[in-house]
Amino acid sequence: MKKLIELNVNSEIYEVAIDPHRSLLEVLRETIGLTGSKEGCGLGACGACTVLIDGDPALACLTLADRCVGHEILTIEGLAKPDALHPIQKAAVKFGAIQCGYCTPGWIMSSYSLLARNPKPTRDDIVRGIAGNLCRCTGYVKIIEAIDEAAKEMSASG
Amino acid sequence: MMRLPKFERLLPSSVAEACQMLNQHKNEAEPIAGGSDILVSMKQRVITPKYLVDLTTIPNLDYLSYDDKEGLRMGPLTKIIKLARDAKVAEKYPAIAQAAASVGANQHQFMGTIGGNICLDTRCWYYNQSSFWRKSRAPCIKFNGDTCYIATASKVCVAVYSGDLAPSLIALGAEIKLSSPKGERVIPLSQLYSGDGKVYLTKEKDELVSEINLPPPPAKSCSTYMKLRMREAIDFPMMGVAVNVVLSNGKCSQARIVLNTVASAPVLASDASSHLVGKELTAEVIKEAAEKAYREAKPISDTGGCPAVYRKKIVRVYTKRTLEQVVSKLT
Repeated sequence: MKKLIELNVNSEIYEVAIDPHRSLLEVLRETIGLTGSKEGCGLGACGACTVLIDGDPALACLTLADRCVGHEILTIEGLAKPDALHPIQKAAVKFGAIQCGYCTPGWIMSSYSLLARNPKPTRDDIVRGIAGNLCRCTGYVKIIEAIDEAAKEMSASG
Repeated sequence: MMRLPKFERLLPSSVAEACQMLNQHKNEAEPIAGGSDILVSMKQRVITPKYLVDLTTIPNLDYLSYDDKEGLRMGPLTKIIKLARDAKVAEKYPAIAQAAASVGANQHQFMGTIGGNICLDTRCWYYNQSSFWRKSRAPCIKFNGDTCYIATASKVCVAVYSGDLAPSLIALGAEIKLSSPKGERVIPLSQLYSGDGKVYLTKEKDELVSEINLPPPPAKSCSTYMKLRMREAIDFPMMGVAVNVVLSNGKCSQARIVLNTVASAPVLASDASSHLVGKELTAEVIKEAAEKAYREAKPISDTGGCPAVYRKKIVRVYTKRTLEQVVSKLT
């Protein structure tokens, strides 16, 4: 039987009717229509579905939507302002840290949570911060450069 | 989209109630903590419980508290990331901090719990795949069949234990509290594992790990954990070594070397460990202990794409390196 729950996604409240065995990723993509978070493996081994729950990175494919009631969910759609991309997104575009784009929302969310905790990460911090996000196109170099630039820009602008 | 099978989530408000629910639904219920392992198994239809008893709805199971007399008390629902980042844990029990930081990737450490990691199911390349692939063969021993595809001559399941925390915890002398409808009991963590890949835990189905405790570390002691894996993140271990060494008057007075992922339980390399006791830990003694650990390790199967023979060789290498590391820190 479907259950009516309220989810706080990107500071908006969504009232959704879901089956209790639905993952957060299914509900985000298929019920709410936020398709930015991707399903890579669906088994918690690639990071493409990474979202933040109360600021902590979580794999939406292994999170029960029903368990997210009362928590704040932040997805890739919640980063940009209506008129401007988030500095990490801007840097990703500038450095061409995107090829197929499938891993992009995941690593951007991971690096967002990294920079929130650690505004001046070393290269090693960055590598560890996105170690749970697989990218099969870029070889990571441009991703790391983009995060590094975004970190500098974000700390410069306070 | 990989979808979960249907289940009902039960919401206990205490450990006792959770045990009661597990008791009531016997083989139809599984406990769920962080969910980063059990939900994978459910998506692959490795297990399809009718009920999930959600332990995260129970209050006060998320804590770390250290005391010089009592040691470290850990709530089973404490996230692994807390262990990985706790300054006290890093100072007193480096092997625990290292093991925690080596679990999966960041995301798994944020989601996974200490209790869940300790109770991690055993794994093998036949059992842990989608039902579609599994269907090409008759069920294995772990699925109540009678063949083991990993070791065809074996009468028992040889799936390997792959949790990262347990070897370090055992090396440091951890005890766990088990709660059930019958009451509570405290056992050494090493006794939680049966050594059988199928029924890999000795606890009853309606028993839950309700606390994990470590004694305070002796004055001149040091521990460390090393993990072999294909990549530096995400992967389960292909092999691991946890060591804990205590020195007094320049000689080793206590030593525990625990091997990971070489059997269906963490393995105390007892010959190698006792070889160190009473001796000065010279390069020669370390080399001998590493050789003994190598002989004690009996990995059967290829795990994570890594041949058993290589994993066995690495036992020798990692035992030597971990011992060298703790000795250099202690002297």
